[in-house]
Amino acid sequence: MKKIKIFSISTLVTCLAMFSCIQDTNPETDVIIDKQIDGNSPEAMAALVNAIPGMMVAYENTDAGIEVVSYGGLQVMLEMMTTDMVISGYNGFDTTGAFAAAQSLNGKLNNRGKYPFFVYFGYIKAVNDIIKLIDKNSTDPVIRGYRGIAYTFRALYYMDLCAIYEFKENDYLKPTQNLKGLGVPIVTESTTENEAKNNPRATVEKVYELIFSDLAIAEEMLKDYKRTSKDLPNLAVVYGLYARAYLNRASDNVPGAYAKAAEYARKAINESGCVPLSKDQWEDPINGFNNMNTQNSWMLATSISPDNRKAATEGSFNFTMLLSSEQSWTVYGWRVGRSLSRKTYDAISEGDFRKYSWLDHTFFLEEGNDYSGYQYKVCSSFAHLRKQITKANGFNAWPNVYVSIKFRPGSGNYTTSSVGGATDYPMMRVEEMYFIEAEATAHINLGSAQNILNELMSHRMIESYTYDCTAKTQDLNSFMDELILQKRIEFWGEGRNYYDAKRLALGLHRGYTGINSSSYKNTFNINGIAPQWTLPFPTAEEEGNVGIGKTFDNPDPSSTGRWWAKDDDQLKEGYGKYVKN
Amino acid sequence: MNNYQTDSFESRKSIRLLTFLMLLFCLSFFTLQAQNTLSIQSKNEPVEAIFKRISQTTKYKFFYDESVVKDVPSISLKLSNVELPDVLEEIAKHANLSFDISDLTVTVSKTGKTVSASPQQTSGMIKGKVTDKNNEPIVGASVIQKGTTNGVSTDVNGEFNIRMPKSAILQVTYIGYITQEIIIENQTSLTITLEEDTKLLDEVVVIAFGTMKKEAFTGSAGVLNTDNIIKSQQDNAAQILAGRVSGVQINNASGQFGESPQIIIRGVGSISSDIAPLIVVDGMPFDGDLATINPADIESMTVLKDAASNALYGARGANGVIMVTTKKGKMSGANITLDAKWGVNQSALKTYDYIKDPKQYYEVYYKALYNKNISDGLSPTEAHKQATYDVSSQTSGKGPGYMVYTVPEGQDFIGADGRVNPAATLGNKYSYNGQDYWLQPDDWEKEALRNGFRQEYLATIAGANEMINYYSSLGYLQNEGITNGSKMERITGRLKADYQAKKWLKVGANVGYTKYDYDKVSEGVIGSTGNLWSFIHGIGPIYPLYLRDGNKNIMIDNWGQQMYDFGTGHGVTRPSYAGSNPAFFNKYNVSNTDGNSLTASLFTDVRLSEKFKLTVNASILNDEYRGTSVSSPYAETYSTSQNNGSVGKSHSRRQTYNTQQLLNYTETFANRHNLNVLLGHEYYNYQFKYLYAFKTNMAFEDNHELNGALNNSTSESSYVSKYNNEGYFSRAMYDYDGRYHFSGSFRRDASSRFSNDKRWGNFWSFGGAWIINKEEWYNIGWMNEFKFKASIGSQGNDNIGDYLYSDQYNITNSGGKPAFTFKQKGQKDITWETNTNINTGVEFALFDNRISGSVDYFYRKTSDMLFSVTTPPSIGYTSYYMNVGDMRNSGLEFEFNTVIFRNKNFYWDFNFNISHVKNKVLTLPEDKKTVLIDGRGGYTYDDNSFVSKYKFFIGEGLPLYTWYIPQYAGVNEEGLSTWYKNVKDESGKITGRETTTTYSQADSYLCGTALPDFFGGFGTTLTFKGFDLSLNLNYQIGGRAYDRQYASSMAAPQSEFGGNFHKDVLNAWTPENKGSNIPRFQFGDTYQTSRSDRFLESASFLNLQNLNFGYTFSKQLLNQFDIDGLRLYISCENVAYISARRGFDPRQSIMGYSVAESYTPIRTISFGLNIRF
Repeated sequence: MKKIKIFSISTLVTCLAMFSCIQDTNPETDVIIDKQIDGNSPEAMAALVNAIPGMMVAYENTDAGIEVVSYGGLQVMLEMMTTDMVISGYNGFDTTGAFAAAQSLNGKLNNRGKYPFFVYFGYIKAVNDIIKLIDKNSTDPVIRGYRGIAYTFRALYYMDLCAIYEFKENDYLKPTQNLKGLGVPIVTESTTENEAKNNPRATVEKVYELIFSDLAIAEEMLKDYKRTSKDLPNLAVVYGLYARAYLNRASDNVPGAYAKAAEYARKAINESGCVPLSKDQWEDPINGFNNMNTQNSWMLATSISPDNRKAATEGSFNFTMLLSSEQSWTVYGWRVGRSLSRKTYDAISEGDFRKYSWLDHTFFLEEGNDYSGYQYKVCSSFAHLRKQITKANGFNAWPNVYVSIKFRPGSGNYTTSSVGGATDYPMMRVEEMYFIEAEATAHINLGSAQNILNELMSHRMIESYTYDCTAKTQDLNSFMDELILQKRIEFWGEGRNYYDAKRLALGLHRGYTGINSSSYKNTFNINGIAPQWTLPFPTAEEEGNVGIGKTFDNPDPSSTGRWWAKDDDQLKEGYGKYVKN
Repeated sequence: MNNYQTDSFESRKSIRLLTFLMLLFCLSFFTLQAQNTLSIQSKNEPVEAIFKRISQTTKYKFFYDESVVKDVPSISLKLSNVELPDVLEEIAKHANLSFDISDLTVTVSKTGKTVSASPQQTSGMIKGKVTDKNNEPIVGASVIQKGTTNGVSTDVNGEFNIRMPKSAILQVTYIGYITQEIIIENQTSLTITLEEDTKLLDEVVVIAFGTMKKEAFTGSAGVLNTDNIIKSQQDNAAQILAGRVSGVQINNASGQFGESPQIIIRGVGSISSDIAPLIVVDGMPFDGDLATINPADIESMTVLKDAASNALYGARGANGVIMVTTKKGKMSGANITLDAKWGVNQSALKTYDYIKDPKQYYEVYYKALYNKNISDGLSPTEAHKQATYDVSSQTSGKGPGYMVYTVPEGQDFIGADGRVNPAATLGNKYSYNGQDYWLQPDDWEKEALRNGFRQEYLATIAGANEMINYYSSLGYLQNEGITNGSKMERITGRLKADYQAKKWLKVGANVGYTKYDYDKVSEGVIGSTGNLWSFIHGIGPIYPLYLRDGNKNIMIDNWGQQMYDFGTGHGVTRPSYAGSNPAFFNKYNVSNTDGNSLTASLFTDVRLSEKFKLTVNASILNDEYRGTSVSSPYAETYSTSQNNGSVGKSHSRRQTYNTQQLLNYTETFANRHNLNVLLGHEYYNYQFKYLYAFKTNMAFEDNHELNGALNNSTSESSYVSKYNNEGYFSRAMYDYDGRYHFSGSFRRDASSRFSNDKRWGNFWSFGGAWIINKEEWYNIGWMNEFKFKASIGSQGNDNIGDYLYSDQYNITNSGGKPAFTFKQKGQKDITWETNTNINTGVEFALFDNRISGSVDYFYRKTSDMLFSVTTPPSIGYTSYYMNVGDMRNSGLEFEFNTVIFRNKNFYWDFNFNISHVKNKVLTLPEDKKTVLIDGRGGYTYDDNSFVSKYKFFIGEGLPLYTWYIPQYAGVNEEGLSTWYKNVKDESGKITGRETTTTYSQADSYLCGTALPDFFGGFGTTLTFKGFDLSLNLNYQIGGRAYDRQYASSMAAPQSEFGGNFHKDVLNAWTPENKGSNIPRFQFGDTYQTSRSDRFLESASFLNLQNLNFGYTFSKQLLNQFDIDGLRLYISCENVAYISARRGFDPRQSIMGYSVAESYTPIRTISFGLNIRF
């Protein structure tokens, strides 16, 4: 009897305990794993599509050492390599220093020269995954919309990438191999990891074949699509990308492309229903260049909501942080002093309200003086700006600094990073379409082009000032000079200037006496193509993709000797000696 | 602030606690008295009434038939403080009754009617003497009647008196001697000689899921027992392992309370996965913090090192296993101990040999400027003029920024001889914005560090009989750190008991509870500046800590608080660390963790038959803490923050549970074949839950709760992480005649870290031992024990990070909508890193066990090592993990213990161990081999957390942590540093090397590994009469570590500078001192102290970890006070260490880092007393 009792108790206890068995675990944090994502679920699909605009405000890859970076931040990095973007403040806090000074753009450790490659191909993976997963025969309007979105963005990404990595001949760096006409390796939804390990650079032509075919699908898919927010594309955006693409091809002498560019720019203007920014919208101290909904000029944007803390506050490439002189929460922002080149500032007409985006030297008072100049629209206060922008804070050229107030902190909040950092960033404005139309038309009919530019510029003049370029643009060259000057002023900080500079070989002209740069390492005086405009591939791609290797990589443009000034003292002497010309 | 109030409250609390402990102890004592003795007075009372009274005052029940007592006359008794048998004996004298005591029942019967004479009937007094084999009396030996609580201790002459029934068994026990049992027949006087048992405590070794005789153990284990543990004053028991067990390395990155040490067993077993051993407490895997277990509750810590020992831990055993066993009661009646210590914590920092004299500091600085001016072509007079101006001007932008001397008007601060003007006086008054200020240097180390008070109390009550075994303890520890804002408090309680409920059933429970409270101060990584430690090391000896007014008084602010110098804001600027004063922030900001940890386990042993035993175990751990970090609004008025104070709150909960079912089968065939088979199943489940929120704009300073702050943020977060593991296992142990031992084990294990179809893995081991001295032919007289053993097996390491088998996406916010953003590529074949271990060795004992020791050789190969392999980033991801690559650790361990001298008054022993571990990377994945150096493929490893300050080369055939940095080639004829660079021919082949003064041209070379060649420890214990002294040291020999703090204090200023200089700069190269190997000390030089092997130091050290000196009072004296033992002692922890350079601490990391920015080690000196009742 007793034995039976013992055995039964033991068996019972043992069986009970045996029920605990190995269990699957799933992450319960801000991570989801593939088996939790059901490709047939509309919510899952929506979340994958949402990831596209999501990544564009905060891409991060800790594994590769890519800090949180936004699409806007990336465009600023590229623009740091152009004439008009000058660092007037403390150089030591400049997170975009590698670009500004063209130093070790291809180093291995913590080097920001590699960022664009990682970020764009990270974006491309996201759209490729959607394209792969989605039912291409679906007639569901939502699914068709998703397809259209994915293809539009892929076209945009490859267009940017191709511009950044296409090797262009220059007088400073010669590659060992003929790289002419080579773009980037093409990775689509069907490319496997093994193929990627031997994936040579496609020619620019091939890349554009993909771009045009993607745009064609996007056009079809988005025909009847109504977007819910400007951070997703619509048909007008597709036309806008066509216009960009054809203009790029035209600059590479592809026949008939100018006409196409002009045609699509006009289609984009008409389809979008957008109008250029007004003076009030431009200068709005609360919503200026940070809100996609308060005006009808923006066609496509990235958008950070205040709840998206990572995008709003983290990283070194938060847009407000990089470009607002008013924000006060991090010295890595305002103390760097993103400024307009003094020469360009002087070239802005007195009647052009865009001039109010940069603080004039008279704004900064010597002790005991009053200020009676233009009453800038600021979200903080003059006192606040004057307290931040001082010689003691590294603004060596003070008061000739011309720091920007164009991009306002989110909701005009310059003290709290989570609010002030939550901004929208313009990826495409209708004004660009006018510029494209004017430029393309100029190659066909200069008179019409002058009219287009005059019309656009009429939106930029304050009362009692008018704009007419006709007299000073009697030939194509002078027209192009004028058009590009206005375009540089218009899009300062929005990234477009980098693409134009490289497309049109505009040179990099930050070497002149009186330049408001605080460091001699940011001064260049280069004609044509600046070598740093063509980024080399990151080491990981060079080593991981035998189709590129060292042989087909772009030469490293890191400069130690191409600076115009020999030291800071030379710059310091020049601040007072600037001669207007 | 209310610091003083808090302090007095704290001390009041401590006193209260002490009183409580005393009370608790007293209560238990009296209860015990009441149970064991009784007093009885009666006049002509019937025996039945007497029985009833006894039943009421004791727990004994009387059992008898009415007929037995019916005729018994009433009796009179007058007894006080006697034990029950004496009472019964007295009754028996008057009445014709006999008594039989069994458990708590007294059976009463009529004399003559009982079957035979009950033993009680003839109980009598037995006198005796206990001696050792030298005929010296043994004092305090425990003499008990076996199976009862009836017992006494021997007195100073070793003598005892005990009343015992005949036929009972007398048991004599004494620690260190073999227990003797004597059956009492007719003896009334005994002389008992106890045999020494030098190996008593080692006899049984704790193994996976059980214990076994050490002799039969085929593996390799190191044991640390309670004697060693209680002598230390470590808050975390793992610290005590340092130097005590061969093959074990302990590193402490920080001296801060609550920081756990890194434990490495038999070498670094993985490159990218966790290398921490599994900790098992009382048989249950333990993922809590070892610091929550009071070291005083630990009976032993056993480190299982080889496969035969830990293969049964399967997927978690690869890095070794530490078995922690808590104390239990001893079969010698109730034992009460009280232990109290009071002591002081002080900084054990040995600072570098810095220039401490302000005058000398200015002179050195001046010299650097002067040298620069000369090299710029100035004449000596001009150079002097300029340099003395630059060094003494507060605004030159080239000097130290602060001028703390007053120089007579019109005179130079530094004379042309390079010496400070003798007329200059220390202290300098100046005016800024209408306020007078006074500058004078403060000694930051002295001002910001303090001596902290430490107090610790412990009370334990334990006891056992054949039915019940219990141990209970209550401990309290309060520790003040060596700076403001650093404190810990811990209350621990434990109750452990088991009960033989039935002959076939034994149940038990073990519950431990700990409440802890830590206040921490900020520390930094290498090169960081915002913490006190970097200031103490890095700041020049001229800077004040406080702000003083023109009258030299420390200024007081609007809040009535002392004002601190932040190096800015009052007209002068401290070039280093301007805007910062960590002494201030440590005082006012809060970083607190308070929590509690509960562990509870239950076990049931069911004896199914003589041969089968079933054990069911279950345990839980629940460790929760609340973290509070407060940036005080008051403190923020002195910072750039515009938050007006902030409160961050975190809460975390770690919960684990474990169940085990074990079936044991034991059989002996033909008296020679012994077999034990274990079958088992185990399940382990781990959960970690975390919650955090943060608010700014505090309403007032003392409210440290979120509700007391006004502004919300969007930093709320919470998450859960989970892990579970299951295994089926079996072990068989067989021996033939105690001579040949074999063991084999197998475990099939599943881990939730892997995908469904890669989840299960098999782990196994075989081992054997040959007890040579048991062979008949064995005749080496002086070697009384000689054992040879060998084992082989495999274990896994599944501690590789979660969900590596799966593609991962981040859940992000995209314009208010959820988005799944690709995060990381997964690889579904991910599996554990496998360790294959081979161990072989001998164990020996010589000269009557006076000398014992062991030698072990091990070979540990890690295969399927986890590596992150890179992909071309164009595919959209950059890397994923794969199991590729092999590494091995092999080595020798030697342990040696000897009792040098032993007699009644004098005892001296010595122990020593040394280990040699050689690490070698065997194979790396092809695409990791990006660099080829000296014919070895590999990759450079930069520790991101140290921002490229360290660089290793991980290459095939090389040990881990092989330095890959430029080599210093000495000073050239101009006094500049030179380094080597390669000379290459046209094809790029290296043909030789030359030197360069351009640092960027220097090539990196392999400069040896950070891993030491040898490590170990030694110690000794001496007792003389009542005095005892013990010392424990540990050491490391070989390896190279980078001395970054030295490097930075050897650098000349490049612009205005406020850092410290090492005295070695006095011996820098000058045209007059061309023989120096230290480059010139010239202002503006950038690269003279750049990273190179010039700053690689030997990582060898010798560390006096613990010193303990005590006096034990004689029994004779104590007996008057009913005290069993009293020992007074002084204990000192972390006494001193020697390293290659003063200030340099290679004990911090296995990777050759020395982090001057972390909390300095604490030295604790305590006085204590230990009382036993």
